[in-house]
Amino acid sequence: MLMEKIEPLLLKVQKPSRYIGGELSSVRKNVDETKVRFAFCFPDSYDVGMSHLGMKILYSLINNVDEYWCERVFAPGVDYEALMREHDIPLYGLESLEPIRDFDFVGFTLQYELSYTNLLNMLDLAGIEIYSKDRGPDAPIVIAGGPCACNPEPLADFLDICVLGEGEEVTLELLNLYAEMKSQSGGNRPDKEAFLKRAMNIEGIYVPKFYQPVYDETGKLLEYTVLENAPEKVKKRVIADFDKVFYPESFVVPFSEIVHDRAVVEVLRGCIRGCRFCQAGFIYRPFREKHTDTILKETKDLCNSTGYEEISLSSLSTSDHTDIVSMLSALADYTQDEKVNMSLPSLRVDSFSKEILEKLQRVRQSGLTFAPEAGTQRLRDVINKNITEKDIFDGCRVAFAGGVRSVKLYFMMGLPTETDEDIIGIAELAQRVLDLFYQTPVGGRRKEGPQISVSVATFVPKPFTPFQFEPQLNVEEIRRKQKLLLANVKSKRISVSWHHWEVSLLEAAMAKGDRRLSQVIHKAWQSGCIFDSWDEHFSFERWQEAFSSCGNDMSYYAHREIAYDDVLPWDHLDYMISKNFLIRENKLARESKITPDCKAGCGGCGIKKECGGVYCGV
Amino acid sequence: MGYSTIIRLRLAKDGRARFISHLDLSRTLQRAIKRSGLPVWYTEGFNPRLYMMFPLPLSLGIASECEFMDIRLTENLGADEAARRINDVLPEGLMVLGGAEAVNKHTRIASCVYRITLLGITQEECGKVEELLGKDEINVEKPGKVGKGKGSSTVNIKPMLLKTETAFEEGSLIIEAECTAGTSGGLSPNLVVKAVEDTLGREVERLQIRRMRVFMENGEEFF
Repeated sequence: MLMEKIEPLLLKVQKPSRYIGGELSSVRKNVDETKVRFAFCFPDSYDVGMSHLGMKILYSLINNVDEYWCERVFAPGVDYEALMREHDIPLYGLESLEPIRDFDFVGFTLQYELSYTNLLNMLDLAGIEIYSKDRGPDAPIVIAGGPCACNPEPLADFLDICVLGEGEEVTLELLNLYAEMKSQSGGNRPDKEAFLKRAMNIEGIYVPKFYQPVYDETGKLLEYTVLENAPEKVKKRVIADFDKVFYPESFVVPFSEIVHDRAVVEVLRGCIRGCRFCQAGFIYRPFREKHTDTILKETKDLCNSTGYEEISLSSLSTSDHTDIVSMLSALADYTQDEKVNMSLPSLRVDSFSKEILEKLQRVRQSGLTFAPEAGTQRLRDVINKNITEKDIFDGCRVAFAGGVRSVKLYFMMGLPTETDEDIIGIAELAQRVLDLFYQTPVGGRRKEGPQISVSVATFVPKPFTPFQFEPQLNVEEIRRKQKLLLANVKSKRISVSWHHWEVSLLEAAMAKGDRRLSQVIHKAWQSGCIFDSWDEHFSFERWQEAFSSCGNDMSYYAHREIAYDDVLPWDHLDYMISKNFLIRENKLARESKITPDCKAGCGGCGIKKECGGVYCGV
Repeated sequence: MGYSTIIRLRLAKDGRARFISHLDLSRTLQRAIKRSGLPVWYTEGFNPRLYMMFPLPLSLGIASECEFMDIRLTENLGADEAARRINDVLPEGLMVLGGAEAVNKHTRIASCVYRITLLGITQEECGKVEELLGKDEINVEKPGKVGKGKGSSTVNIKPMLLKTETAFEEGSLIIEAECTAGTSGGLSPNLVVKAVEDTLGREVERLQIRRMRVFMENGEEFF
């Protein structure tokens, strides 16, 4: 039993309750009565992973089946990892405290590209071979899903299976197949080849090794050779009746504080807006929502079962819910009665009555956040971000009058067609917001001055967006434009911050990478890269070395312009967004022409009516 | 304001729950009270918080049979009913052992008895420990906090070690130690262990510490 080895070490590490489980609503089962054991791994720390909604959903979903047992696994902090390695403690599930290498499945959720080295590190800590081809018959099946699975090619050599799209149905289908084959093989692990060959026929299941990339002599991707009669294209899974989709009645309630420590109810999935840089806006299509009654019931269930005193609504854009006013009103009444706080993302303020806003805002707003993304209306039209200066000023005016003095503005740099004028536009927009502050009368005297924070990220082109063909801005240009922006900021009340371009460059390479990156990721991990999304761990030099030692180059993936007819590493994965639509949108972007949202009219993205979209086929 | 009474609950903390820090325990119990649906009193004001008091923080990793928590009920339910309802919704390792109306002030707490069980001890080592505990002065280096980078200092713990009893059986040495506690300054049983380890010249890898009882200045048990 690992427990005895673990306990003495816990007193030597930071926040040990993260490593011992036992939280409220964590699920314990009798191993002898369990047919399939699943390790749900989040390739980041407990604090981050425990905040993730997808894990909570799938954890409950799997554990609702008596014979299946899903446990949680996170990346240990570096202090604990060192002790685990020193004392030969393999990575274990937080529920049973048993090594996950003995489980049937080890599943990872891929939420961001910079977590890939953690996936390798966790396999290694678990005592599981990292390359799929090296894993013998006694190893678990290693699978992955989540948004980054829409281009899983950089991880293809490590994964046995990828799950495309939404997991609520396909996960159980996969486990059911496995359970059936396990019974047939007398309770032992079924033959992996045989399992993969049957699993590949489940919609949403992608078995990378049955798809072999073919490159020409210059290294250009030509096609994929499909082996073993696997489907030519693998289609993502979509839950058509989203209102009836499985939702947990309870969450595991952590002891230590986590990033998002509250109850969460998912109100809608997909997005109607189609911002051309936004991957989530396309891969989660179509737009579906839950009824107000369902949302209210799930809120009550969760608050009762967890004891959380805060609830937040999860979606890509809550204000697009068709019944938003009565939904928020009902929630406001409930939360007020129960002394529960409701935290809301930034909403389009104009659509609400003052009464509802007052109900909602029991905690006074201290700041305001907008994401114009681009400095000029022209460029906002290019990226199809339908926020105008008027929207921003209207919101700010109300907030300033109410005493708010800090505004955060989020922008991107390096967007397609961007000129110096657009960069200067960022500074000018910030200045106009600042001017508005001084022009807005408030009751009483102001004690403190305004603070406008401008945050500028480097644009990262992503698969399945109209900008997937676009190159990322090169380093020299990023530096020049940063200087240009700073030179145009005229007030000390405006602060400007950047994302590190090195991180964005790696993110771009990973996002649009192909299977040749598996080797690079392995090299990078071997040289010590983990927790790449954490500033204190990220090492650009190590990554550069890893690329060059593999005869590869980040720039090839990030800075290359892609032709419309080029074969892409994710072309054989069908996210139901047609490539022709993406090309059409890319051309419209170049002409600064917007595409209306799904509500205003169908843009013909390719999503089928059968997928249950609110505005599809209307 | 209507009915209001302060109920004191005695809890056990054991198993995996030993690794919940004091701050986290407070949040955990707050959520448990919320789940229990008990009619508790909330602070007035803009951001209402439910009233909760813990007199004695417990170091990480130590089990306990006498953690105390005060809550304020707004209905006359009785301490037993409150204890029952909270017990129904507690995570593994936490259990309410009993409840009563709070009578004694927290400031009356004077000492705690800990049972320290050291495993894998030889007869000879046992003798050394007994000799140590009999000394007039026991100096221990008090380590800085993990991760906080604070330096260490040397303290004589003997004046805070009110009483000790030892028992030795089958390689296990059990020390029952009464340590000062409360507002006037307390002695952590971890320091007692540290003194033992210094004497033995080795780290005792397998050990259990359990808080058994809490006493007031007049020698009576606190509740």
